Amino acid sequence: MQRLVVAQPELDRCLLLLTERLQRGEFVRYGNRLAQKRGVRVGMPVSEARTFFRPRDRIIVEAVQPPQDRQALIELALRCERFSFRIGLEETDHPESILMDVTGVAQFFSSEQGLAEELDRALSNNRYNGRIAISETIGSAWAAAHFLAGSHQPVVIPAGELHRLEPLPVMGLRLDDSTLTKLERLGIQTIRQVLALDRASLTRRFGAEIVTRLDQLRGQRPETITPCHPLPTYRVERNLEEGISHPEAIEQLWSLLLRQLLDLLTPKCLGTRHLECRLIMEDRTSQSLSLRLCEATSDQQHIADLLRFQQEKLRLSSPVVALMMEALDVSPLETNQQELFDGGTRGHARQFSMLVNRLSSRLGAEAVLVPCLLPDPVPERAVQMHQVSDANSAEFTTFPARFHGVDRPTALFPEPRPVEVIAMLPDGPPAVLFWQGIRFDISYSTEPERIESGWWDGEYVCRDYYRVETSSGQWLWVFRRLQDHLWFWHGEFF
Amino acid sequence: MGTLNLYDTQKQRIVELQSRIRACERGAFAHSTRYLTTGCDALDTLFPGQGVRQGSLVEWLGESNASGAGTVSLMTGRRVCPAGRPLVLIDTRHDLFPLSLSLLGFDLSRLILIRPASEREALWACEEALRCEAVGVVWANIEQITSTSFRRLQLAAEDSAGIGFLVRSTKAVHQPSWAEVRFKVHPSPSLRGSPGFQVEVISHHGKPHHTTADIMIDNWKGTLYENRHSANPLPLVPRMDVATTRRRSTGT
Repeated sequence: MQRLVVAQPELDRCLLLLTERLQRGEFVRYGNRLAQKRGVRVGMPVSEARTFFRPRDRIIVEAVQPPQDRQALIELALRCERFSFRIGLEETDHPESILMDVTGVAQFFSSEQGLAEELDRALSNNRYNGRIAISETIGSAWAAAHFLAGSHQPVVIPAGELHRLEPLPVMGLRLDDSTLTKLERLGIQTIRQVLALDRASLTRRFGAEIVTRLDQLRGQRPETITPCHPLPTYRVERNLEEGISHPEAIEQLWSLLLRQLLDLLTPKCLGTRHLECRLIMEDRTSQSLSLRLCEATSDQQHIADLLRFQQEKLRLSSPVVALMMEALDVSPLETNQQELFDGGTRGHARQFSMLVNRLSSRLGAEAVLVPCLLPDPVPERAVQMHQVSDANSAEFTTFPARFHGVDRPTALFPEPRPVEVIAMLPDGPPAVLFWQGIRFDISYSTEPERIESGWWDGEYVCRDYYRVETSSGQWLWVFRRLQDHLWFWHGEFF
Repeated sequence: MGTLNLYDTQKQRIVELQSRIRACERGAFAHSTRYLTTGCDALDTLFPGQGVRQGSLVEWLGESNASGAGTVSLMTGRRVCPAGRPLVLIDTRHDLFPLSLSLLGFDLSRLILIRPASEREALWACEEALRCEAVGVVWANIEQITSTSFRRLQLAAEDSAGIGFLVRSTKAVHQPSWAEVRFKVHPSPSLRGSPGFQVEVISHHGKPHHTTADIMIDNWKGTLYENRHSANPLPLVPRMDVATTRRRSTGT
């Protein structure tokens, strides 16, 4: 809307509608102040909007043009570069906000308020009307800009005062429409109401996005700004006149390219955490070797070892005619990401990350895991496995304190094993178990522990678990499924 | 008075030669003779050095179902793992339950779980992890280990001064082993709901003080302690306790 008005100021005196064509017809996406004054609302069918117009009104109806809008927003962001070292757009399909990292910049403008006012003046000079907010996190600044700030009234949320955002509507959390609709149906209108809910049930009912957005709002989950300025790419490639198929020749080729690639990174003290090596074959197909590393590295020997593991698994359909290598996740060597394991010497940490890289390369990233507990009582859903490369985002929760050492078995079978049971009492603990012809005489059993899932959790689970001891001292974990009273052996102290 | 007779001199020489043979067996680069306590005195006495030697392998053998070998070895591994070092668990059966480990006092943020697709991969991962000086303890349940592979594991542990715990079934009892100590773990009757185990030394390098130990898991703390009641001349006492508990649970 503002893009059009800036380009043609006379449009401000017209009834301007930007429309969007959906399956159900053409709807109003934006309307200028005059259109809104007439009663036109966003989301209204264009035919209905036309009924509000008067005969003498000058009406302009145009379709929204997302690529042009995005380009205009980027141009505006680049014009604001003097206010920030890192400036980018919000990461949605149709961005409407510019994100700026103003850490350490405020001192050049007397204060953060001064910076915000100067930015507002700069926008006004370019005939743009913006709503500006400065806060500790991207999420909180976005919410404040949309629901606290006004035209020419910038807002600054001082550090430690994020609670001021709690009364704002849930739209401030940057949630998708379906989640907002569900929240509205449940009568949840403010961020404070969302914060009061249990995180586990929020995740189960609305998905992981809502918890992510809450964490981003409060700064408990990192969020970065992707700069508008294109980042430099670190890529090398080599085309061959004749195809090669011998593994040693291929290794020699990627070794050469790896050296060239690291020669680009090393002078800038940069390393890579994600390296992609693409082999293009004579039959126009391609295969990739992909390395994800625990920390940024430029160690040629280490990377070559890892690539060698990957190459061993490669089955080429025809000779290689071209090879392209690119460092995708590049970061300074000295400021690596948070260490997987704190403590110990730097040398040990480095050795350990090299070990993890080797294990992940040879066995696959899905085989090298960091377990995280989830607050779910159902045993098979109580643990989530993260790949080591994602370990920094893993949350380590604890189980309720009422549980102790041997309340859960050390081995949990991937699938519960059906067992035949003889019980002394109809609903009592088992006296004898039979599994695949093996008989277990039970000499002791604990009180039953009822484990039941919520109806909203997908598959409904309602079980009575018993820790039982056999006459020879083995400890098993069995349960009776209450829906059909069948017995299963689910784990053991192996 | 203070002079040694011929018998004493020969005995001393034999002891000296034995220790040199052991040193040779351990490899020329044995640079660690540090022993780490398991936190359970009864278990400590089963090790020749009154604790787990850094740079050694320990083998835990158990029957196929709920023998307790895995549980006891895991709890011992947690206890002997040097502070600040990560634990690497190679779970070939893919059934290790991290929630239980957490309840037993493991810090999951310092734990890497490896779930290989085959025993061959598990063996490779075990050797790699043992070679890494940064790893505190490597725990693995691997059934098939050839003598050569075992020796490679032992040399890797020796080289990095790491500790390796290998959990296998009792079928492996007749297979060659390069472990410093081999234990066989049997389940034994519980006491007040605490699982009990008997740990038996079946082979060792050096002479341990005892060859069997009766241990239990503390239900509340999740630690191992010696079961002194196994020597109780009145074995009825724990059984009565069990019977009482059972009556209560069945509501009779």
